[in-house]
Amino acid sequence: MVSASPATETVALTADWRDFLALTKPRVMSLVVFTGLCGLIAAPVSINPILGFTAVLCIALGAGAAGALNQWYEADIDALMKRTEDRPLPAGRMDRQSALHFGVGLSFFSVLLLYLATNWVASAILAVSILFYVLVYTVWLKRRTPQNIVIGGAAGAFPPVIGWAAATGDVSLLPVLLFSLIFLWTPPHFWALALFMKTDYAKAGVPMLPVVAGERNTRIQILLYTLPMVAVAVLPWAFHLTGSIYGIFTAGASLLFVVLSLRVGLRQTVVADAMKPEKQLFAFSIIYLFGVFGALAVDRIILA
Amino acid sequence: MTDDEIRQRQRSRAKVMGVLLISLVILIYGISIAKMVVAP
Repeated sequence: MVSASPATETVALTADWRDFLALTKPRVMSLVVFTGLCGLIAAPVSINPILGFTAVLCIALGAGAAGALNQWYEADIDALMKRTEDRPLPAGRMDRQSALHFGVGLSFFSVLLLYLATNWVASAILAVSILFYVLVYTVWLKRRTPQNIVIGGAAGAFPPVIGWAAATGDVSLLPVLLFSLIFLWTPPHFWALALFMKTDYAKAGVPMLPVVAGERNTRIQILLYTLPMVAVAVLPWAFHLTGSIYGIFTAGASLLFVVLSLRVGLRQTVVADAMKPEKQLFAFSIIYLFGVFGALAVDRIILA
Repeated sequence: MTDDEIRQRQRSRAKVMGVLLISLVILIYGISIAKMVVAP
C-alpha cells in the first residue's frame, strides 16, 4: 500500500470543512446565487420548485468550484496580499492538491446535476462560465493585463442567463441585457476597490488599472463604464420587458450610481487619503446590483 | 496540531460529508419525482 509522506499527510489532515467552504468564496457566491435566482424568477415560464432550487444550487456550486480553482491557481499571490493571506492555501491549512481535486470535482458535479435537473442549455452555459473564470480570467488575463476584470467580468455575468435558461431552455433579449448589465457593472465595482487596495495589488504584481495606468486614468475609466451600464440597466424597462417597479427603482438607483461615480471620477487622491468616496462607490455598487435584481424579481412576481 | 485535534477535525469532516451525502440522496429523489410530475 502506498502512503503519503508524513508532511503531506499532516497538511492534508489539518484542513477543516470550514476551509473547504472558504475555498468557494461564500461572499462572492451570495451575489452570484441572487442574480441567478432573479434570472430564474424573471423567466416567463414557471419551473417546478425542486428543479428551480436545484438550478440555483448548481449555480452556487459552479461558482464555488470556480472560486476553489481560482484559489488553487493563485495561492502564491494570495499569500502576498493582506485581503487574501488568511485563505486556506496561503495560510497553510490545506494542500494545493486537495483544493484542485475539490474544485474539479465540484465543477463536474454541478454541471452534471444541472443537466439532470433542467436542460443542456443551462448546463452548457454553467460549464462555459466555470471554464471562462478559471482559464480566461484566472490563468490567462489576471496577471497579464489591466483589462483582466473587464473581459473576465463576463464570467460573473452568466448566472442570470443560467437561471433563465434553466426555466425556459433558451436565451432571449432580457437575459442578454442582464448579462450586459453585470458585465458593465464589474469594471467600476472592481476599479473602485482597486483604487483603495492599490498597494496590495502592486505588492502581488497584479496589473490592476490603478497600478499600471495610474489613478487619474482609472477614475475616468470608472465614469466611462458607469454611463453605458446605467443605460443598459434601464433598457429592459424601455423595451417593455419589465414593469414600472423595476424601471422606477433602477432609474433612481442608477442616478445615485452616476453621482457616486462622478465623485470618484472628478477627484484626485491627496496625501493620506482615506479614499472615502471610492469605498462608498464600492459598497454601493454591491447594494445596487442586489437592488436592481431584487426589483426585477419583485416586479415579475407582483406584475406578472 | 495534536493527535486529538486532528481526530476532532476528521470527525467533523466525516459528519459534514455524511450530512452532504444524505442531502444529495434526498435531492436526487426529489429531482426524480419532480421530473416525473413535469413530464408524466
